[in-house]
Amino acid sequence: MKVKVVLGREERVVEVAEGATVAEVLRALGVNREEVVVRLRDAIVTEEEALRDGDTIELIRVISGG
Amino acid sequence: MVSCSICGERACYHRRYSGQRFCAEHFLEYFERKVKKTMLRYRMVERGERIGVAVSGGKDSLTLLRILDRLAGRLSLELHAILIDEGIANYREETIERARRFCEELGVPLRVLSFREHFRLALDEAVRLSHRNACTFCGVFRRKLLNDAARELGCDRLATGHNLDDEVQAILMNFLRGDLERLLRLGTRTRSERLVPRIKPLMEMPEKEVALYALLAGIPASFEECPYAVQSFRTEVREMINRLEESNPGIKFSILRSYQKLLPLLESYGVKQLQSCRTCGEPSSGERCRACLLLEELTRSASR
Ligand code: SF4
Ligand SMILES: [Zn+2]
Ligand SMILES: [Zn+2]
Repeated sequence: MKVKVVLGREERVVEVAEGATVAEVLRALGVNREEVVVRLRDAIVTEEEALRDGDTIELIRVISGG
Repeated sequence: MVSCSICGERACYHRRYSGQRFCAEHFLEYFERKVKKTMLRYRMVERGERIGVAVSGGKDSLTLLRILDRLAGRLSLELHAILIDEGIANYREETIERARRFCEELGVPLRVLSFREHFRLALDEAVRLSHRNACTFCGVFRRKLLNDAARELGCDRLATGHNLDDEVQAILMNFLRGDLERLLRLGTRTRSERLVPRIKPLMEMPEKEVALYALLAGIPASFEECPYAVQSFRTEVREMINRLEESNPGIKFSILRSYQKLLPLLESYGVKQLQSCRTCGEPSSGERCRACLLLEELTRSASR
């Protein structure tokens, strides 16, 4: 199935196995879960949340460095 | 759906190092309780004190301000927000605006001090004059102005928004560089009357939890990154720690605890006495303080 990932102004579509979780999408992208908060359909979710085909998730980077 | 360990509603956070899951409401409750506990545990404040709060407009400092503001009534604390404008074009303007708005909303007085007004040049100009990294000037000058402002305002403490990740990064960075003096300074009480004692109420909160709190509590914090925050030693150390944390949840806490256990040993090895800077009289570990040395270096390059 396909999941759209939005990070700032960037957008990517990733192909993951049916029923994949947020954690699996992050792993596929090489993103560390410690460094992002994930929003799915207007709600913040845990990395264990299972996704559906066509879902869009937004990653919010938590690193400030300022 | 993943559900909250307390109420069964949809969870927004999985605290892997304890196995708990929280919905938004219970996360906010947990977070505030934990910060309060940390402040008690380290006896960070006492009833009736005046607290300077360093704010930048980012998630850490505004979260800190909001939590202190919620505790202020019960502990009769008097808060004063202090913001340092380093002079970073296309970045600081917006974060200052956010900090200003939030202070107004909470009714906390805000004092703004700028590099330009106190050192006669903005950080952007200092960077153009020097081969040094922006963060070197930024850190040294900011620390000095924060302390000056807190002292002038008569603050008993100066609170900063350092979170668990910041602390653990600093511990490992100093350790990896073999800088025992700085490693020691991270955790010991100040050694000069001219230095306002610092407190770090968020030091036991992982960065991700602070960000989540800011988002869920609707704090108007900026999530932008400073343009000077590029790939650095700190970034490398951060990535290493976060990789470790991913496969060993809780390791950030265990690094902090190890450091706290080591601290008495480091202290017995000797805390260097601070002297007064020959130029400005402020506390310094050498004959002259870092701020004076850097300023002189900048003046020299400017006249060249
Ligand atoms: S990243 Fe930016 S704000 Fe942070 S210390 Fe460096 S120059 Fe200063
Ligand atoms: Zn709940
Ligand atoms: Zn000096």
